[in-house]
Amino acid sequence: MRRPNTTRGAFAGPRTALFAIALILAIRARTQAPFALRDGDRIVFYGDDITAVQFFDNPLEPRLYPSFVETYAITRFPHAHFDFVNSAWAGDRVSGGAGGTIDIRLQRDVIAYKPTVVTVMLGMNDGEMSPYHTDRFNKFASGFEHILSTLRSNLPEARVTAIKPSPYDEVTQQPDVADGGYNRVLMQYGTFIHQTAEREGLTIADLNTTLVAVLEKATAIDPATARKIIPDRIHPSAAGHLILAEDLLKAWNAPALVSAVRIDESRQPFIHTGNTTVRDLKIALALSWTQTDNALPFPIDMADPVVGLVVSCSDLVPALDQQTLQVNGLVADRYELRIDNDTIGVFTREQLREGINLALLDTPMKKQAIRVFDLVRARNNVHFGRWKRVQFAIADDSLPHKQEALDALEALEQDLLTEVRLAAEPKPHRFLLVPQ
Amino acid sequence: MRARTKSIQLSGTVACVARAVFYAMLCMAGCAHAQSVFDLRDGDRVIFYGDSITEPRMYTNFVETYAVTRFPALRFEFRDSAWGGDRVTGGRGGSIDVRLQRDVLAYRPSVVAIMLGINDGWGLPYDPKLYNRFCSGYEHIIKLLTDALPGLRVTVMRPSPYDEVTRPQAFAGGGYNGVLVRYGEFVKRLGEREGLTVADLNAPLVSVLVAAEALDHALARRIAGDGTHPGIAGHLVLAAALLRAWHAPALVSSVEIDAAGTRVARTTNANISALTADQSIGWTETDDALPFPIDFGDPAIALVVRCSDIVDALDLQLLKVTGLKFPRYMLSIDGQPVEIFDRGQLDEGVNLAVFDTPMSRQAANVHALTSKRNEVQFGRWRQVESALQSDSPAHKKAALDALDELERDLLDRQHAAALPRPHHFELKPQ
Repeated sequence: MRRPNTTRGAFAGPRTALFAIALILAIRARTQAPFALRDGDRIVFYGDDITAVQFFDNPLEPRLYPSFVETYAITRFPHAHFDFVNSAWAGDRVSGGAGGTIDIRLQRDVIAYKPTVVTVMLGMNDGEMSPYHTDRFNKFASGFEHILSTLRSNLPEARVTAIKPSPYDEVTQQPDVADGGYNRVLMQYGTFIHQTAEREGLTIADLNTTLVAVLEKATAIDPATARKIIPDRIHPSAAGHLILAEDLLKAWNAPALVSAVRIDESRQPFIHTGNTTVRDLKIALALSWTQTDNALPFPIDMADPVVGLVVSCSDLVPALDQQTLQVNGLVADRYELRIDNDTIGVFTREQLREGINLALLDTPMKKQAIRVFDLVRARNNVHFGRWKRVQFAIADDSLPHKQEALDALEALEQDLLTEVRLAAEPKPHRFLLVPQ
Repeated sequence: MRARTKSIQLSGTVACVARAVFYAMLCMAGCAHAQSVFDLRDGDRVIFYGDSITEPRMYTNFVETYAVTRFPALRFEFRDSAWGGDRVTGGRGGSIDVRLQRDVLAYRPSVVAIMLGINDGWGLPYDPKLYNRFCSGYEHIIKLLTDALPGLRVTVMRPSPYDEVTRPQAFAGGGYNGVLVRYGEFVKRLGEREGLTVADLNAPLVSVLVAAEALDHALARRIAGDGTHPGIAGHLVLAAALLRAWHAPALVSSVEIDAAGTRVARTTNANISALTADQSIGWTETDDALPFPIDFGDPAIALVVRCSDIVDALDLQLLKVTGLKFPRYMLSIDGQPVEIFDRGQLDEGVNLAVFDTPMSRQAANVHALTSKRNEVQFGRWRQVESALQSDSPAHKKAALDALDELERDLLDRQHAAALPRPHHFELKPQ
């Protein structure tokens, strides 16, 4: 596995410096368990509506939490190679669904890709939006166990993450299912998943609890916007999917660090860096340097008010998105930060001394991350078209140009995967702090 | 018995058969000749344009299958260029000018059918500002299309309803469907002023919902889907409404046999050979068309059939046999039993379109191919063409071309699957 590089740099002169020292953040990254995904991993996401679509099946905006997770992995570890496949099917249960029985689904859509990692989230449809019922639960439990045993016997080496299903929103809207609501049922399913996964030694991710807590906090602040986190109670919006992605990434020990830079003229050495390289530091009235981060920030669209609310009600940013800049010993009251000649913001001396998180700002690095995210979704979209609209739709028809179309779409998907990797490669940026 | 109607209440079947008898008599009298000509012509390229009502390829697929199965000798090309969320100004797929250029004009259609409005009203009470924006946007669309393609036949569709029959009104003062009806009035006036075809996709579904609600609330709700997007049964009503505006003939075929005289008394849209009449009556029949692929086994569709004249208006495959000696006969087609009829029923005429026959199975197969072709076309458009509009990966063109070829394969297969086939009919006394 690759870990953010925390030891780069060399001394380069009294006023132009290139240093690398592990920061506190980087030390923490080292002491926590390594990121669960490894170079060369093939990851298949398996599940139902929640994994397959965003709120309302808009073909341009589906497969969201898996796309966030994929983008995180590619932008945080740009030198590792991952292959992600989303094989979730809206409406599915542990027994399968419109795409076939569970055995067909697993064989064609999971095992055929020879994954090294499989995530499974099911339950939302299995509970039938009804109060807890023993027969339904038993059917779910034995179906889930069947999935695990099928994966175990066909993919003995695969690392499976069992996911406790995401919530049915009974926080921003009144419960509409008798006997204590539907999320209670989902949590009971989740408890079973937890126990089973523990017994089998699988990774467990809880995609329910955090989002419920976020809904509660958000409702206290802004109930109207909070309701848009899971507009139809079932399918989260982009903001809700960010929290789902966070939960899965946390279960995978995803590091928070994008990069960290601390400039402190009162200490020796006066530059500390984490997961980045700083060159050509010039300190005069203004400060300037060239910084090449080994990772990109998370593509969080802070302009979306629902996302903004979710960010303020969760630890998404501290847990996953730390791209810090700290400057000590400045003399002027206020400084303008420019990156590649674009004004990013104006900050007080105190703010800079405390440290600012660049990940929340509209920087060239953030734009680069959004570009990666767009390409990730484009690649997933092509894969989806090949899978659902060709491979599956005309599975029973032998047509002269079918194989050609399947091959051409696969080649196109490979093109886009290459583009994704290129787009995620670290780039140097010129930073400038100008006194105001 | 293998009636397709087995899961509907018997009364539904009887009602269908009874109505079919009435139409059988009408049509035997030559109503097929009195009908005007179907609006679609050989070689037509038809594009559906609209929002999330049109995007899921449901009513549009019904219309396509109807055309392909009713006129198997003709060639049509259909394309669904609707995009969920769209308004007269465009939407996620681009501004209206980008949308019309890339998704309509680029295909040089001969027919364009447009339905918009449900998003233009924003789900709000009538607002003159929104209404005026809708009107001027709609006028812009018509002008742009007709300027670019002189000779284009445009059908404007009054937007399908927001369900306030099985659900409470969205707000007082006529509800949201009241707003849509008002938008529809404009669409109608515009269509008449510009000499376009006007189809009403609102009132027919509302009246089906009213009738269905009186019979079965839960099923009526299924017809209405989520209130904005009708379920498949609702889409059948939408398809019928558009086909009606296009003067779609009701007749699949009509055959009248005189068993006593061992002679074919009359045929329309069918060919009869090898007629024998002894105790049993047998013949070989090749219809020029297939029945409409209505899945009578779906209870919501069965309810729509009961609450509308869809079968009478679109799906008459009539058989009348006179001069029979025995009181009851089993009809078999290609050796498979279809239904047992009374002599009286056969004497008045029965509608085979509502039964499970080799012809209805053939039509269902064509419809499956319609869906498949549209899936491939939609995937090409949404997952490749428009999704990668600003990217030029090396294999984009190859993928687009391969998908075009694949779609062509499916179009050929669909056309071949719709071609008339001879079937052996037998009436055996019971």
